[in-house]
Amino acid sequence: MKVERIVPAIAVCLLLLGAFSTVYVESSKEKIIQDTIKINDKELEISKIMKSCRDMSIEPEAGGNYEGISLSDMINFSGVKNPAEHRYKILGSDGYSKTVEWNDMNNGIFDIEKRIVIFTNLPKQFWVKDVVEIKVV
Amino acid sequence: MKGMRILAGIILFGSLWGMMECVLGDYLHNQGIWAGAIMTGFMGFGLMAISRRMYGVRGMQLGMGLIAGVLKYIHPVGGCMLCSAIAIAFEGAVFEIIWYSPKLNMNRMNWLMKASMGVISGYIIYSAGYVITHILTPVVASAPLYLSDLAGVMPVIFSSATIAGLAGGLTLSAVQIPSDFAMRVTNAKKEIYYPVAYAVSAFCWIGTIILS
Repeated sequence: MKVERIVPAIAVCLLLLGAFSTVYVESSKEKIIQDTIKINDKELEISKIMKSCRDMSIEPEAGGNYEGISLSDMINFSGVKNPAEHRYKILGSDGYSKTVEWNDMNNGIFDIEKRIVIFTNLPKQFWVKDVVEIKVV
Repeated sequence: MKGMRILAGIILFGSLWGMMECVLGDYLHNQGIWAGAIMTGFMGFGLMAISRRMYGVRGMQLGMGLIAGVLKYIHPVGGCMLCSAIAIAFEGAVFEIIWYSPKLNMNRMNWLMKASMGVISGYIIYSAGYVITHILTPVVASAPLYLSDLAGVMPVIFSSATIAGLAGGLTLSAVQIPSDFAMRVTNAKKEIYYPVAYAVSAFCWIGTIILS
């Protein structure tokens, strides 16, 4: 088959892949409930988390100055036993996720207003936006 | 063509690309627009296509990506510096792979081939850059790397790559460089060619660092 026929066919296939992926991402997007966040399979109220967990101010290696609630306190508040023995998968509403260690959680905050996790010691790639859930793995 | 001329071209186009990534890319990122896909499809791929059409030299775009990646990395403001720098550096390499075959000559393509190759290039360069940076950033930064995270994010990558693909298709269709113009630029007198190339490159680096 000629290159002139194959190339447009590949281009169309890629655009179709992109279109189907967009439909999939949009249809599987989890709705953000502003008042709650799911941690360790429990739906926790943000207002209760704010009362029980420390406020922290951090200056990440990636730059800037941020304030939010301590991620390790949130995990402890959710009742996870032996938190240092687990990993934590942070999920965004669009399916983007990052798995981090307990040591990273100790160096991280959750900005409630923007629903973003920020870590002092990790690249910005790990700053998951529109967080809907933190899974304990 | 002499090696030094090509080297000056690599530095010039790579610096332009890096500066645009730092200035326009960060602006789009802060506006919440698809910065990565737009910058790859229009700017990165556009500059690589222009340089390939003008110089017709393979390997040049690999060097451009490395120069742009370094400039992005030393620019201390905006999104993820390390992630972006790694992605940009590899985008040049992916371009070289896609356009390796001598059969794919931009100067001899009809509009359908140009649009199609633009879509393929934009889509694959963006997707590959995204995947590579998701693997290499944690490795370089000594951060945790779990491939299950990458599997989960693949639909997001394929979705946003559509923008890069469409942008690539438009860019390659729009890049029109008359061959006599390309010849005049690439074969300009050395008294003009080198000072202009290095002055523009220096402007890009100094301007980006001052703007930071």
